[in-house]
Amino acid sequence: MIGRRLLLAGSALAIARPAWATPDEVSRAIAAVIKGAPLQSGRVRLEIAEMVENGNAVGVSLRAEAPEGGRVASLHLFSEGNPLPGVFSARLGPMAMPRLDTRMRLATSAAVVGVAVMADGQAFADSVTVMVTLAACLE
Amino acid sequence: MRVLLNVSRRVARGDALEVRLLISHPMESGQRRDDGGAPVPRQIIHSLRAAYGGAEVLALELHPAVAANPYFAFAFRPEASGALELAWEDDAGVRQVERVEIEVV
Repeated sequence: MIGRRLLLAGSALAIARPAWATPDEVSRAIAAVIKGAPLQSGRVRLEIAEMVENGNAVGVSLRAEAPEGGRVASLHLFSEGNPLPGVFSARLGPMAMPRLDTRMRLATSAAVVGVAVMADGQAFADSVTVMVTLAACLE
Repeated sequence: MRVLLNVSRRVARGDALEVRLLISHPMESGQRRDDGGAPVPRQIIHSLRAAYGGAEVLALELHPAVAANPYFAFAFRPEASGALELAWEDDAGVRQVERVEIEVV
């Protein structure tokens, strides 16, 4: 039998969800897009400043390089510095160059991870730890 | 939504065409509270699609971590003259489409 105290503890836990996505949540979000492929390094490059004053709009560029005869199927960006792990997922058509630039929020200093999935299913990642001296306003 | 779309109308065959798009949108994250402490509902552009000559170039799924007034830059290689169409939709169901004719010379 579940006691009242335990139920209360459970609901308190549900309310007090962590303010930022944990490395574990980011790993799970990445696992969902790489579908069991081993995460390799190389072939994808994440460009973002390592130190920013303001986390409201941080410029980020994610670019990948297709293997010989292959194609980059999708690009994905994640971070631990926000309440949710995902930033964007981009599916690329055959005409697209394997690159996407945007501006992201960072609520706190955190690792930002870019992932490229090739048409043959191979997955590559690059990561940069960004230090934010002023957080994005989430409150 | 106000839009700044920067793209060349003419491109040499075989060259990549750079597309820069800036959309005026709050990208309300759904994580904030208003002055009275009530949660502010999420209102973001959740998806954006670029197509050229009817074929998909880029299909973007966006999360609240994309900054307000979202900016995107990407490039593609058009093989023949045609229309570039950019379409996006936000959580309020507002859909917008921008269309640009491109000449490949």
